[in-house]
Amino acid sequence: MQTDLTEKVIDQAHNDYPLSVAAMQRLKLARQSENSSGPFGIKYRNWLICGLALGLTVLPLLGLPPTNQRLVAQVLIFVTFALSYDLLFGYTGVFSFGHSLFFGVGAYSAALFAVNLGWPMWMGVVAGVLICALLGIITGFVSLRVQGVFFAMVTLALATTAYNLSSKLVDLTRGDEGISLLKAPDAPGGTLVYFLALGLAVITYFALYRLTNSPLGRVLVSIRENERRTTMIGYNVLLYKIIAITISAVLAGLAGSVYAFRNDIVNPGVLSSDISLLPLLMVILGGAGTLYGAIIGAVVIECLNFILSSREFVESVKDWFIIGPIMQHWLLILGLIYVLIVLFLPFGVVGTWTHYYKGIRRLLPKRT
Amino acid sequence: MATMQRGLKTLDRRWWLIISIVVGLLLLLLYINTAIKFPVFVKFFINGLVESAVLFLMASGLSLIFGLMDVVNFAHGAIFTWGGFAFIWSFNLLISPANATQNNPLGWLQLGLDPLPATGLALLIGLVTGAILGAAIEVLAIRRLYGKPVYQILLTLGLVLVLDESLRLVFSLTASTYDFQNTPWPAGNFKPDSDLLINWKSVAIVVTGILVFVSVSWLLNRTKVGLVIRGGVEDSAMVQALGYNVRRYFFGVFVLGSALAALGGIAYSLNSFGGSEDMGQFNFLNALVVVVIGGLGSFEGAAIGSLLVGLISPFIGYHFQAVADSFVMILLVLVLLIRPQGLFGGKQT
Repeated sequence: MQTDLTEKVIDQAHNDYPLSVAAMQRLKLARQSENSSGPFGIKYRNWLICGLALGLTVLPLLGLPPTNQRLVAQVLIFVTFALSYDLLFGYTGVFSFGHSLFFGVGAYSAALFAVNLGWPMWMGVVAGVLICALLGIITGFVSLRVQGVFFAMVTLALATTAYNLSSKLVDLTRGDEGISLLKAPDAPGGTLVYFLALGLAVITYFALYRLTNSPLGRVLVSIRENERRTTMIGYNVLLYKIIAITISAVLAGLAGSVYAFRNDIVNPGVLSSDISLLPLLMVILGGAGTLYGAIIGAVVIECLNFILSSREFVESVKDWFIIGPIMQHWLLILGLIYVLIVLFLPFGVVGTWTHYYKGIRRLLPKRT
Repeated sequence: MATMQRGLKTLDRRWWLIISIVVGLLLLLLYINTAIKFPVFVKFFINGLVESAVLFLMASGLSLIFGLMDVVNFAHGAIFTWGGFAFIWSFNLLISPANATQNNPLGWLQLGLDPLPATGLALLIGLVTGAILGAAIEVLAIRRLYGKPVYQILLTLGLVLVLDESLRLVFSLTASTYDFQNTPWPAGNFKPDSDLLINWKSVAIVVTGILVFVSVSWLLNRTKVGLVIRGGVEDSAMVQALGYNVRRYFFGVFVLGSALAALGGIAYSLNSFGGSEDMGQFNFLNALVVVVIGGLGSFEGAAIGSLLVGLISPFIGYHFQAVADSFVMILLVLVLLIRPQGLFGGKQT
């Protein structure tokens, strides 16, 4: 339906405005890549994701040890988190630097309502989702007033305020010590957390895939590309921004509550600016505005984190000449990789690959 | 960008605004402090002055880089930390007490200077460290990204990671703090009143802040260099066409701003007698708030903003401990929502 419409618009444009040959070819390529799909009209990469999800579902049944389950669960949680950030940063072009606000609020409300008020666990999660949605709407209204760098500053300020409050309101949150979820009897643990994280990540991916390929997603992309023109066409930009921020906030909050189950403890660390930085790094590393780029970024960064900061690795590289001491600081390596990517591959790994892939395909003989 | 023009035209009104804000601030402080005894109030006031001087040293660099040149440099805080740490490191190296060998790799190079020359040399080394870092960041990274604020943020966030981690590596930190091993130069204190004790280092920091304010304002407003910089901000192509290498002037401003950040780090580590890893991040956020409150592109605005934040925050910390750290952030959100161009800025955000 959508592609039909696009083709009609393109044909109309061809009739109305004579285009240069290069522009015609670019449009044709765009149409081709939009239509290129695998069996049953589903894209190859979505088949890949389905296969991966199936494999990950079978893994614990085949006897994946619990420590590795926890690791995979963490990767999947951050996949969800990075995907939610990609909707905001990659598709809508809203640059938030306080995404840990939603993540942390999700984690804290899952813990607080269950431990302090004795609510059942799922009610805590639902309450967290509602609070995140509310915060998302408020943040969305802020974006009416300030934009670009200043919006990033406001979100940073909000997240920092939440972080300070969470460590200062000792009566409520037990400060830096954190809330232990072991006191809540119905908190999910072990393999259940693994499946929760997996289900959340898969549902998030397909929901966001559907969303970004819907008319709503197109409007979000057009806001990213040219906000003023989108306003002129007649869309209520503020409303769409609020929708994007709210969806993103809800998904980040869900990821945060699963993170709380996974860690069994919630401390102010979930609201810190390090957590805000992570999805940004992941999305930029993978490629903004491509969903699967966010997945790649999250998997790469979390696995690198696990490998490079593990005791065995640090011990083994200690004596290497010059590189040895550097390799012991994994954040330094991450920072260097990240800086190089921003400088030389500004569209991320996936974006750059797609660019070159299209370039190569243009050289190949055309299929007719 | 008609910031400067408008600023020059409405100079009188602007100074009146500044004066009225200062007077209002003093009244506010007196009002808050009806409950506190007088010497305590003065002590708080002096602490506030020192805090605002440190904040201003950092915010002045940020005001040049971010306010004037529109480059968003999140690595400013990391340069602050690097400046402070380089100062402490070289001071420990030069002053050489008996136990100085344990923490620095060049322990054999012990000069055993007096506190005054040791502090002076260490100050120079700290400033040069900041300037070199700033120059490196400008040449290697920022130069490619003028006019792309989002990529500047992304890049400098990565630089924060790199600089903070390499800080641990270079100074071989085992704890999160880094201490002086002897007392640096403005030691001691004096007693103007029987209840009141003022450290000489507080006086030195405040005087440094005032000196920096006067000299940078003079540089920007009264010299040809300042004229070229302001013109370059307004219309870089035109100034380039008149035969000035605008990029080189911008490079100079960036290096100067970074050196000022390092000076701020030095002042902070003098004031709190030692540095900590997170001092850069914490102070950077405050300085950002100060620059935004004062208004982008307004150097006086940064000074007034740091006075505002620095003088009020000790009292807020005294009266409402829970929101002490969040107060500055709340102030930032309020200012951005109510008056996005800041108190003295003409630039629209």
